[in-house]
Amino acid sequence: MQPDEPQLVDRSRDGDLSAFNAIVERYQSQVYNVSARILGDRHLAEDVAQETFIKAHRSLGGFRGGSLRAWLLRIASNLSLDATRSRKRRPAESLEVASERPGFSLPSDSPGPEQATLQGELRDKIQESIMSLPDDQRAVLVLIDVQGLSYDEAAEAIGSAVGTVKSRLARGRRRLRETLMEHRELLPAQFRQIDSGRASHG
Amino acid sequence: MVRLFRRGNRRREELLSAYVDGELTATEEREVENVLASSEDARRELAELQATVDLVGQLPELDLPRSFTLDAAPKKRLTLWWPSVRATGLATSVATMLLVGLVAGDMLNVLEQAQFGSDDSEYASDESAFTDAEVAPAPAAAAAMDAPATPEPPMAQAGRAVMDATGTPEPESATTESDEGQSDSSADAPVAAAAQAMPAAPAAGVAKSAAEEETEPAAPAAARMMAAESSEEPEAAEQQAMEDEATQTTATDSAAMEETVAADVSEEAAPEPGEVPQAGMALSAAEEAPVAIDDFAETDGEGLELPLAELQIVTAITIVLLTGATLVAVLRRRRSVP
Repeated sequence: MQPDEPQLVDRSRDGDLSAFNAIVERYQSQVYNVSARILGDRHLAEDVAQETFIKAHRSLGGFRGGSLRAWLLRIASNLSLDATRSRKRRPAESLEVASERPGFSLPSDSPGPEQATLQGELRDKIQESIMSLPDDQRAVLVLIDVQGLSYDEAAEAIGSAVGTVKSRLARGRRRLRETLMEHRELLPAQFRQIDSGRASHG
Repeated sequence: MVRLFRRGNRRREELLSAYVDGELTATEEREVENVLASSEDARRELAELQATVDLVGQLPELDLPRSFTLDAAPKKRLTLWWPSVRATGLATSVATMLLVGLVAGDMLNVLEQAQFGSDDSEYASDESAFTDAEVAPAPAAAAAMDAPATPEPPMAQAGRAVMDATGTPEPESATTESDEGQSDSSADAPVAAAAQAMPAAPAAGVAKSAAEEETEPAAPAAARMMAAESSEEPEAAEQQAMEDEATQTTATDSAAMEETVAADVSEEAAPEPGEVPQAGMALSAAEEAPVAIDDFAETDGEGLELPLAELQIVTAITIVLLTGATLVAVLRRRRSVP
């Protein structure tokens, strides 16, 4: 998978659209998921994902090697953060987005109706907590905890040093942890145990 | 090392976070494990952290709504040439502010001009020397001081001052001042001469200090000589008027000179009534002078107005272009996100 990537990039630069579409097919799911988690909005994420590949095709000449995934996710997260900011400037639209959020969770992987509701609620709560993070922390947390990038790759994707990635991630995780603790009733047994352990120790 | 025992310590937070991901150096890892072994609080924080990371990691991967492969190579955007929405927007607002400033400045200037114009029209219709006296009383006095020493006073201006004076429609203010002027310079003036001298008196009043000095017999003699010159050379006076028109010396200066000479003429006219018709001739010869003032005012107004108008037009065109650019930039941006 990795070895032919530079070749695909070269062919794409030479104007081979099928080579570029091979790259799109390889990364579109990750690009779409990162956008959706940063934005908390599927429709906007669809737009951002398409824009990411259009922009990538246009600026492929500027790609200087390294991780193609990090490069693509960098474009995607930047566009997502831009879209978040422009949405914040229009409060009417953000209301619309909020009302759409219940439909954000996936109904597909539901084992039973009751459990699915709980799971869906928890997912919504997690997504909501991610959305409440500051932009820089949100991007890093999505890239590492949702998308599973390494610290190095995440640093490449946000254009910062690994140290920056570390501290942003730690702060983002703390806030997320605190927010989730406020909704213990939704958390699985794992969390409730920790919580009761803390309560008994005062 | 001791710091790491405290919850909320940033370094502990970062070390524990990186410990979860296995992104610590061997030394750091040992450090964290030592803390965990001795601190239950640290262990609990790690457990909460681990649970949070697990929960986020359990978020399902979202299905793609569609494929994002490209049907055709997207057109290269002229990114270098094409300005951003923000830049054009900023430029538009700057240009708008400039235009507002220009229009406001122009309107104020127009008001000023209107004021000057009304003075001018008042001058033209009423032919009031008083207006001029009001405009520049100080230079008038100063010029009046110099007047006796002036070998060739501008005759046209002298004549015009007389003419202005004859047309003065505001006798109330004029006569009070003219009384002073008369008492100072021409107490025994014959009636015919007084008719000439009286309206000229506002100017004489302003140039009173000078006139007082000229009550000596020598001064009227000098003035008489000047008046004689003016009557003898109406063409020269006319020429002077033309010159005045051409050179367009400042209104205050010419006004000051007029008043000086007007004072002279009134003084001179009082003791010798025979001179009066000649002064009247100078008057008719100098009829060009107010026109000169009119012309001056007009050209002066235009000189101020023209660049402003051009600037306004240029700015307005710039705004229209920038607004167009902004709109196109917005539309392009919209379209690029299908």
